[in-house]
Amino acid sequence: LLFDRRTIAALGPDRFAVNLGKDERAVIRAVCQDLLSLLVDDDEETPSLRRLFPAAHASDQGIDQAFQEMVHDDLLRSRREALAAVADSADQAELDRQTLDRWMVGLNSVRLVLGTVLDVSEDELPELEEDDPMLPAWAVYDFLGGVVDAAVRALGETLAD
Amino acid sequence: MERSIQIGAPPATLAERAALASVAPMEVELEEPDVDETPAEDRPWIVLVWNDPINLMSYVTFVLQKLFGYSLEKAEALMLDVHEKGRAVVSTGTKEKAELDVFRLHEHGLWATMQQD
Repeated sequence: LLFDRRTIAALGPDRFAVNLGKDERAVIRAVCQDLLSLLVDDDEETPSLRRLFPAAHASDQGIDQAFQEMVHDDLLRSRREALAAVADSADQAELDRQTLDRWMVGLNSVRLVLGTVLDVSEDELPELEEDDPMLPAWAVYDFLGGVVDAAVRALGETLAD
Repeated sequence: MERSIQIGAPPATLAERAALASVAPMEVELEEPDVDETPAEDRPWIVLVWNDPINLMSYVTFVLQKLFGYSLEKAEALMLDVHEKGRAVVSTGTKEKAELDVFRLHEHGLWATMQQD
């Protein structure tokens, strides 16, 4: 094999090639823009977003509320920055390390929301009929898992000791 | 060993502390004081990561390497504990350090909580 056709291939510690087609890149941009539009100020009330703002103090709601108030804006800003960075670079043939890291984190946050909506469990994936209305969402969830895994591998291979 | 950001000017937002911490990840202090003789407020806090069916095993392993500077072997062992036992202690320290660690784990989508040991 002359060429490395993995989805994401490390060309060096700060340079990564992204081998994705036009349609796949369009999906990546669209899901990030969709989640950005959901991440507004009253996001805590949206059930599908609960995995993005998890409890930090499992046994004390009062203490947890104080923690949530302290971190919420920072967490929201950080998520929005990652998703915007992915949407902005979705068509790039190469990414630097920081941008690929944002792909990994941003696309993982999309998976968390999709997985919550799909009620993903540890069990085997459900058998879906061809006309199941959730089939496209499952396909996107599966596709994003592949991209996140590819990003993890490429970043992990080039992790400084 | 204290993180330099805990010395001097009070830490600003958690995001700023997280950005500083990510520049120089280091091993957490594992030495534990004698619990019986330690006042409650001085007892260390532990940070737990809980199993969830969405995050990929490879992703959880890499996030633990990235945030805490753990070796691949150590991060994989912790990930497997999370996966098989339902949870694992990934760091310990002061309340402020635990809050920062939980914030960074949440930023990465891991299901983390903190409690006093």
